[in-house]
Amino acid sequence: MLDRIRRLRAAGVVGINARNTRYVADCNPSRLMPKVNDKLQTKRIAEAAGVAAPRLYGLVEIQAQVRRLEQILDGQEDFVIKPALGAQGDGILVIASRMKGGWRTAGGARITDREVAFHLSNVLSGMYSLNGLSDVAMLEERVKFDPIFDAVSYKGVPDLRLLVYKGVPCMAMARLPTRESDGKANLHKGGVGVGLDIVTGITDGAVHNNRMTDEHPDTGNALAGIAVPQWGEILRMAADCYTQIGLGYMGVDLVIDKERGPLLLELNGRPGLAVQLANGCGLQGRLDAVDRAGPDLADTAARLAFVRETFGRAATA
Amino acid sequence: MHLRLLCTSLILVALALFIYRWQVLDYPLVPDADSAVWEIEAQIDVEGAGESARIGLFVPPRGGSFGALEEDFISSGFALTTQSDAIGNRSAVWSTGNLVDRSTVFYRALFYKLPGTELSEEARTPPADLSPDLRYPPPGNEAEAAAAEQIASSLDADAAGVETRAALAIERLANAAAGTNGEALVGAEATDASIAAAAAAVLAASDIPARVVHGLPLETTRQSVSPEAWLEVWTGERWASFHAPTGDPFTPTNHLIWWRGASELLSVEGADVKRTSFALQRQQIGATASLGQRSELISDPMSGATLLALPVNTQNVFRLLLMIPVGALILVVMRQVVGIETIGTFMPVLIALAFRVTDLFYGVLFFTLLVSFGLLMRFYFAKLNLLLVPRLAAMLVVVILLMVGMSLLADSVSLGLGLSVALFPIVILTMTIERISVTWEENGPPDAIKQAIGSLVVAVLAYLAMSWTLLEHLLFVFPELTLILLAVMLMLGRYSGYRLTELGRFRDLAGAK
Repeated sequence: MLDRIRRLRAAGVVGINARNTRYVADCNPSRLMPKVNDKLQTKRIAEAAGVAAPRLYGLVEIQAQVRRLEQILDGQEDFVIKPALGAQGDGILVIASRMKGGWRTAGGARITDREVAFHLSNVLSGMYSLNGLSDVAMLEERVKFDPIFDAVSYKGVPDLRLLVYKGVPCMAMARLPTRESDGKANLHKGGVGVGLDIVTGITDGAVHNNRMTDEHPDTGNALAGIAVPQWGEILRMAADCYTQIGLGYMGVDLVIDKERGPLLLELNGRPGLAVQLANGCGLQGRLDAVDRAGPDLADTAARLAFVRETFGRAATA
Repeated sequence: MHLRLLCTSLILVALALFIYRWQVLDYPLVPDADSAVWEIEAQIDVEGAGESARIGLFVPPRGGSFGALEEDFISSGFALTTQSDAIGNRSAVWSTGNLVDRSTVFYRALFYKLPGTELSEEARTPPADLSPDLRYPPPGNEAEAAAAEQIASSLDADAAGVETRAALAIERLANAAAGTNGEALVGAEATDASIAAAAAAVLAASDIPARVVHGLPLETTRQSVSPEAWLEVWTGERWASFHAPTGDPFTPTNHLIWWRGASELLSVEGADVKRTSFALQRQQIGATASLGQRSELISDPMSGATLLALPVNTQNVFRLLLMIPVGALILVVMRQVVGIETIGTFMPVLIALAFRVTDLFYGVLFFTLLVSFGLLMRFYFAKLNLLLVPRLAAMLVVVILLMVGMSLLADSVSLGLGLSVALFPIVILTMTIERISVTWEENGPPDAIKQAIGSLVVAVLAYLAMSWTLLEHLLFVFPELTLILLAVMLMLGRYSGYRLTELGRFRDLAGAK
């Protein structure tokens, strides 16, 4: 056991306690947390800063508005219901198309108008929010995913997670849904996390249920060697989010839309550590490098240059 | 750095208080360390002749190395007063206007050996501060004074120091032959008291302050004891004790001092004393129990801070309250260091508290049954698409009904068991069921079951720690130890090492290099 601890430390693996004390508690002042916990605030801040995000059709803020769903949608055939204070993707309902007497979900299931209304009520009553606070339901544009991950996704929403420390994107992974994760990309629900080279945006090894793997558990296709398009833009968006939000240790979740390119889905004030497994590499070394560089990283350009110079394959190896 | 300073000072303060109360105030470290308490009963039978009567009895003075826990003066038809005289003696005086036939008065007291000081303050009070009443021989008796002078001068050649002189004086007087000065001083029938009094007179003739002390040796239980007398001599810094009639110096740590001076124990007017008896009984009462009684005696501010002075009901509440931090610490360790996931932050501690009433086996059984049945109902309610708050309220009712049902069932198994079911925290159980079912729906049954079992494991561990009698005793008698728990929790608040469960989670990364 002691040997395992020594080896993990040597590999620079950051544990959950270290994340909570040294990074989340010390770098993320709690007064800033509402900016990332409330997806509505995040979206407004991001859009003001020129970071693209899925369009917001409207809000359902009180029970009486549940009946006004059609009015808010204004003819949209597909949309996403998202609790503004939701965590870990809970309470997100993706509607793919309209059908007689109801809707079809992204998973292909049929859902009646009543069930959609009930879901909205649950969201408002705070069923999915942190601490059960009453919540607001956001009705958002459904992202048309870039086909880049089609071969390695089982339905659902593949997204990108960048771990940004003091404005420097340190590690990244693509999160791919599996049959087990029920269309969600959350790793603890059975999604696959694929490590991304932080400089090039090309996939490498992957993690599924905390074990390293090379292929998607459902499709069997190889996970390595996929190049994420517009990677430079993605890095810039992640770094810009720090400038706007100010959280030192932050997870930036993005999706790539076929037409609009990378869109900011949400920010996370307590990003998990599975990204280390996906990349087969501990995080500590990179976080320490950022700390050492300190005041040199004054703006986005300097930070992105730092990423290229310090975290490149050649530099790490 | 700041945190470290805070934790260190918390621990130091706690340890200092703990060691002081343990070592100096002699608070018991283990639950059943008996400390001896002596029950002394003096019984005086008198027979009156139809006139007014007055019975004076010396009783142990305040101060000294023993303290009285309880004192009772028992009689029928007598009026009681207690008096202190100029030399510090205390006496009880019973008086009545008309004592016709036999009557009995009792003095009954519980004495406890005061902790710490070998020499009581009284043994260090210089004679100058004492009353001059303590004079030997009593003034006016020229013959005895002359005899004392002669013996004193005969000692001059042999004895150098005060202590040698005292020992020698007692020895000579005890072995005085008939017709000598010694016999004149001691009297025809030599007793311990008369020898000691004679020795005091001899030493007084050489200007050494000395006095007779009467006391009871508290050693073993005895049906009948009588007070012993010995000699106290002022050495210049303290009163040294010398045994009569041997003259051996000794330290009267086990002697309860009853009175000083040449006076008799009893002074009775208007009645005949038929019998005087002393009984001595050593009682083994729990140290913790005696602590409560004795806290009033010890005039130390620290001894005031004992919870044992509270009423018993309140004490029990605090016994329980002070164990909650232990449970919370177990919880913190299991979450931060081991990495066991639980449902709700303090749920396991509250369940562990309930286990204290039900016992472990029934506790786990009831908890499992309550949660399982509750979950079945919750899954049924989920089908009805109810809103959150009404659904939670409905679950609350279900949990109460389940508890009523289970109480009846449990009582048919064993009487009294039913009540214990009712002590499970209802709201906590309701929220537990809710959380389990939400986790079940969102993260799947394995996660939910894992968290439920994790909570139960932590609850059982917390229960085991919280029902450790020694720990309960320590925290109750030394509540300052809670500060140590606080310090450990604060330090764990900045614990940044790996959790044990992470060693498994990240094992692929450990192998990579």
